[in-house]
Amino acid sequence: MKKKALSALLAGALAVSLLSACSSNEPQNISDVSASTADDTSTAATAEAAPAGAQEMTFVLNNIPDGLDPGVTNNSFAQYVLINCFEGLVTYDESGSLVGGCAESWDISDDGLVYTFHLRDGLKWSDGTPFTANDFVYSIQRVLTPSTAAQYVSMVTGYIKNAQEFYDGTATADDLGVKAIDDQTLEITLIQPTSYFIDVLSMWVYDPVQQATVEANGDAWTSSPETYVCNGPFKVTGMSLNENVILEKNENYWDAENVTLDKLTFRYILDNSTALTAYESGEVDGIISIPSSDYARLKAEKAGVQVYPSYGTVYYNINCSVAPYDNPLVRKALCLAIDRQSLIDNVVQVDAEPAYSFLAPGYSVDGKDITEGRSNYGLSATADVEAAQAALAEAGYPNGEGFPTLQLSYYQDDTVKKIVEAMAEMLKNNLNINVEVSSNDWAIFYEDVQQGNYEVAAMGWSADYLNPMSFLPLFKTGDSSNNSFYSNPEYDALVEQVMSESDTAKAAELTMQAADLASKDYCCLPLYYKSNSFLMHDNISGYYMTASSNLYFKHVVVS
Amino acid sequence: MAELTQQNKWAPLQASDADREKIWSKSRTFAGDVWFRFRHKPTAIAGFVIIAVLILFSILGPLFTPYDYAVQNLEMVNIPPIMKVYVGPSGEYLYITQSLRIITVGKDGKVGSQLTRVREETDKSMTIFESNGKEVALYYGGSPYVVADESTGNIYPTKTLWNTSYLLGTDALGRDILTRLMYGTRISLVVAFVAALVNMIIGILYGGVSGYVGGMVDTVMMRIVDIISTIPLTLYVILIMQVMGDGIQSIIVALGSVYWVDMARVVRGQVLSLKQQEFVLAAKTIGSSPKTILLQHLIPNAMGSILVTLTMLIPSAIFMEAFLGYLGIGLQPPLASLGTMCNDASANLRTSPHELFIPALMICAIMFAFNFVGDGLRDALDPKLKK
Repeated sequence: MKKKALSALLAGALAVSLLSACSSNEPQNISDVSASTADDTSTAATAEAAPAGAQEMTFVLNNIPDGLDPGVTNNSFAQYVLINCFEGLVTYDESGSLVGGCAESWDISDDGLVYTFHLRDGLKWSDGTPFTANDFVYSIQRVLTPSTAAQYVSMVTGYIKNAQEFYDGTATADDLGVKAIDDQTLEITLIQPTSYFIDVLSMWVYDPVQQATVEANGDAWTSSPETYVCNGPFKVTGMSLNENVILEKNENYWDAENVTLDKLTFRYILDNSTALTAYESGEVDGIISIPSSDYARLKAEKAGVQVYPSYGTVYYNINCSVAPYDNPLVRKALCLAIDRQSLIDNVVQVDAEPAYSFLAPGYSVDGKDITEGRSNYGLSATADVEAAQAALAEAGYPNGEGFPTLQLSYYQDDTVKKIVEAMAEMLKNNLNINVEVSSNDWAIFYEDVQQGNYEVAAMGWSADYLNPMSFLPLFKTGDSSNNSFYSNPEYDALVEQVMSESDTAKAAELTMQAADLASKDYCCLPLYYKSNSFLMHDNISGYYMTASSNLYFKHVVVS
Repeated sequence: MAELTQQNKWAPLQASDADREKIWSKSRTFAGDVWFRFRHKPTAIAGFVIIAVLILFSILGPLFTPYDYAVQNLEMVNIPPIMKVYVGPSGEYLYITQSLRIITVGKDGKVGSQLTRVREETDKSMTIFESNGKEVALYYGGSPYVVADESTGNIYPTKTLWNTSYLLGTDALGRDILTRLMYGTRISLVVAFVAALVNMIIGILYGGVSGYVGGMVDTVMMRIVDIISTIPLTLYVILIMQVMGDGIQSIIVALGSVYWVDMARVVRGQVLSLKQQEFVLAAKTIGSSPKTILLQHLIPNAMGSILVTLTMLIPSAIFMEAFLGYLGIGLQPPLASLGTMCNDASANLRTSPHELFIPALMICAIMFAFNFVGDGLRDALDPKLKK
């Protein structure tokens, strides 16, 4: 038996080498090459497809969220369920512009402080009970209750009048700037005029949750389909831990007649290549993450690669509070030592733009992108070894001598791992320093990063709402999202000004000043500006992804 | 002969005392006997040779490769060992990479550099590259992708070449797989060595003492072994990693602190039965110390089972390390072990299967070798199988 096993093994090895070695009947012209993709071009362009067959689809997600409570989580892996099951006061449409969700219209007072929302008629929860403005009041108060442990609480306390005081227990519900005038009118009062507050409102932390189910079931209301009451285009009808979440059309949604899809299954497949196998065999209709080594092939074969612009940046945090990284020259040296183009082309293998600042392009004022014409801060697409060495020498480490071993931390993810390994090698070779890499689960990694227990760490930022203000707090002193511990009073002052500026053009100008200031200090290690790509078969249409990476399925048609 | 046939076969021979005492078969020592049976088993010898070759490969191999296990060449990612190249307009060899770029290849199979991309012809499904001042088109409208002349669409002739720059190809970061394989094999063998060492020292002493002393001591010691063996090893290794940090030392400590329990059980069983025998009684009678009895008399007599257990435990230790590496637990990049190489490669399985196949084949070879040797030793050490 053993002999047989061995010879079978050898035969297998031989067969593989033969397969790759021999090739018969070589085609002579490209017209002879089997056209695998000939008929794809016609179907891809059809926007309005007629529904045909069962209106059901399966979409693969590659990360399991830490929770499905819109009031609690800020985890972007949860967005697919939250975005499609809940609807806040405002939402985004296909063109990426802000439209009314639960609110039909709203008025803003002349001083820009009071927002009055008029809710639609006949709104209902997915269990059929009526939905009123009081539900919004309850939901926001719930977020502002410390025991809820809302991760996005600063997105409420930073804007709404007396929200911070309510959170601290020094103000009552009557003082809070959120009030239901009647069942269909909601009034929100702000701390100061904020030009982008409507954008902030699109975040799911402002989504309504039903008081009855939350109070009856406590934290467990998100863990079973019966108690998961929502108000969006879909409702949850099944969930198995770590396996899938099944969504079905919510007949009580106000716009239910425009929702064609009956059943939407989100399946969790953590391994990207397994997911791709399922996709290519037609077992699933779409997958959220494309294995980087297959990207070029899938794109060439027109296998359904969807690319959406994204308002986000992949950058690495440098801990500005510990030596030697508190020295801007050291940070400059790190930024200069990275060959961004090579990372994009050969490691990540995606379509992306090299980044020289944390602030991504994509926000326009008066038809002009506000980042247009800005400096590249001395950085270039490829590594500038001489300048990097010079910066490091100026910082007191000529030729990397005496520089402590750099700790490069990352979280477990195939792509991130490859980037980190390539970066470690670039830093080692270009700066002549020692680099050690270490990885952890996302939860442990993120806790370390938040506590400043790292030197250089993998990170990225996708804007939560389409305004550069989504980026600015990242480097503001004392902000909970400032994990770089960068601190510059001048920058803080500029950010404060942006927050209170009601004129968008002026705000954009201040934003650029602030971003310039921090980028000149090399507050982080920018790599590239993201674009979002996922796979979807051609028979699915009507989905759209916003620049804040939210994927909407409500108008999906299966044909 | 004629005389013999005429004789009655059943008549007694005229035998002297010397003839009667004579041992007709060749006399061999125990070790000689074992070696004789071992070398007459081809699989055992094959396993033995493979292990020797692998040791040389992993220790001396890195001296002969121009690469280091960590050196990356990001222009040359995912290049296979055997390349199908197209002969370009000026006779140069062109290879299409998995990321749809073209690299030049020398006539001797040495990889050159990436061609510069000139423009993209999306409607023709072509990417145009510049090669020696001329333009060549990469046509990706069909399968397989081909290099062709842009205007006529004629595909350039193909050739199949061995990659002589990277004999076993490169991985997703352009590192030489052969070099990484050497380092990975080295780690597997270190793990094998450590497993053998802790088995020989802790396992034998622990089991020996437990079996020889017996009674209450035996009960307590064996319950400790039971407790250790109920903790799942994976969980245990993860916990140790949290305390000690990542790296080979954590794997060694984790394996070293639990991998001797099977050996301890085997030795205890052997000692329990052997200590009832007369030679132990005799040793006790002449006043030998328990240490002498255990180390000089009992353990050597149990050596057969010990060696067999050992050669069976080593492959499982190697496999455990590879398994942990595959799960992403253990070594930190850029260090290579066979398991982490497989893990890195699984993401590229569809486009670059060689990256997974090669380290997997190596794991197979190591496992087969140790199992064959273990098999051979078991047969050789068992006197009942004597022919």
